[in-house]
Amino acid sequence: MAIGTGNIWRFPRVVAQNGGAPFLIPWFLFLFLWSIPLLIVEFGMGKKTRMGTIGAFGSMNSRRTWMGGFVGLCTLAITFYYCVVTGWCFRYTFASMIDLIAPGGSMPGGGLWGAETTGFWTSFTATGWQPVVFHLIAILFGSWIIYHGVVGGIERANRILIPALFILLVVAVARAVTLPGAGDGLNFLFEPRWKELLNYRIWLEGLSQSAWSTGAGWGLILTYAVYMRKNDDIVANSFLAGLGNNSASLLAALAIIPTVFAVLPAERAYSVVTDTGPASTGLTFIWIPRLFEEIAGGRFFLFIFFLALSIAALSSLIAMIELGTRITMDFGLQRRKGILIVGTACFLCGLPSALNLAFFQNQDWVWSVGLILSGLLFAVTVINYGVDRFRRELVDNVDNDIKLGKIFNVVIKILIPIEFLAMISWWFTQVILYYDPELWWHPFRTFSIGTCIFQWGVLIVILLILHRPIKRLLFERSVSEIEAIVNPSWENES
Amino acid sequence: MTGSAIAMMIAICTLVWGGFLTFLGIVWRIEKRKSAQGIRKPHHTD
Repeated sequence: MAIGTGNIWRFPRVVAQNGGAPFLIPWFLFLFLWSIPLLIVEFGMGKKTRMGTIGAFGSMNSRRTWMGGFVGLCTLAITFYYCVVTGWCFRYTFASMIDLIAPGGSMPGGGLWGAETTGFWTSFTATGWQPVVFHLIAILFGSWIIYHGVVGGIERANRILIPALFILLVVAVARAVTLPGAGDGLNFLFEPRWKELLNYRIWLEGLSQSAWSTGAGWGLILTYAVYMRKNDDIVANSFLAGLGNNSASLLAALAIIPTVFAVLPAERAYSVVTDTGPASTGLTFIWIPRLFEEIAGGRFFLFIFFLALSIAALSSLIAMIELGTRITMDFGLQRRKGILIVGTACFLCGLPSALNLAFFQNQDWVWSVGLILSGLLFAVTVINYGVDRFRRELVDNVDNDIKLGKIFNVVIKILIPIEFLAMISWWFTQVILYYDPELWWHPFRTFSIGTCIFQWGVLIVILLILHRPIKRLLFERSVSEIEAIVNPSWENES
Repeated sequence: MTGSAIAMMIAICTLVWGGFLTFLGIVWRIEKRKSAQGIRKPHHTD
């Protein structure tokens, strides 16, 4: 989880759109005040309940079952467009492999190199059928891996490819910051402009990016923890995952933003990186090839880079499909049926994002901010369970070398609810009074408040209506059925 | 680069990468100790 598309594709785009340096401050603070504490909560809940998100919330308190539903479905909504991003990674891996075999060969929309990189991205996303085909390949590949229980193979590949990706990022940064003109990019990225900290959007995006990238509030760590060893150290691993994630994010931004400023005149570079339109989603895909062009053996390393990025994205996608599958298993479905249902849903619900970048951006906005609500629901559930009891049983116990003490209680009980209320009320008042007083309520505008409330609202209403049947399905089963869930058959299959 | 940008870059990179390397060392030590005590076999964390 430490390195993937959240760092390499999403972070450089979000940090640039939010003005560089001012964004880094809330992004860094929220790592400790939001993401790491919630990672610890997820690890703890998964280890304690040994169930998927809905079952885990219901086990902690049956009245909170719908909250687990929101967390799980919010992550599934992210999965729908995440498959599309994984498909993009596959497309670029394929293109860089073809380019490696037949250098300079023509490709639709232009080559991967030089001034043609933008054309390649634009024509790829504009064709419609290409993103759909690669979206489908990503889902089929991810589902096939889980279906046949060969996740171990991907993990073994990751042991080589993730460090390779990390090393390639370091090399890319070393080259990017030494390009003539890169200093303007570094200035953009690090020049503190304190007044911009008064903009609510920087804090809101800093919080949602931290949650998106670290996985806090997704329920993925909770699902992973279901299969964890009892004595794994959750505190140290949460800190390591969070800081590793931020380290990779910073490297990705240091590779891409100085490159844009080195290649383009400063004013043009500024407008390219701060663009919030649909074209901005391709920032990494357009500029990484431009950077590798400046490195000896760039064609080969570009292929390795996209291959490693694809495998990293695939690993996250597998975890997301696993989360959905786990939920269906909690309802008593067989594992393989669950995979088929989740895979089909991902393909169908991801189609609009594959075909339309504005829809893609809307989904990224709604569900990345939705992670803030998911995070609050985790905190509320632990508060309801008893923060001190949760800490003594699962955080400050013999399995963990690092003891957090009462600071954990303060963060979960006080800071996270305050952060949530402060962020939401600040966001709403600023947008309603100053930024978008006319159309803030509109449910079909890409970045409006209305679109978030509408989509979250629909989900919450459905979950509240189905709350009773869900609880019945989950908790009123025979002992043998519950044992089948606690000891899933797939462990034997793999 | 301006002086304030350099100072900000040093501060952020030190905090993020320094923190990561510190915890990498801590987790490695914990794993090594547990492995030596026979609590578990060493394994990777990513």
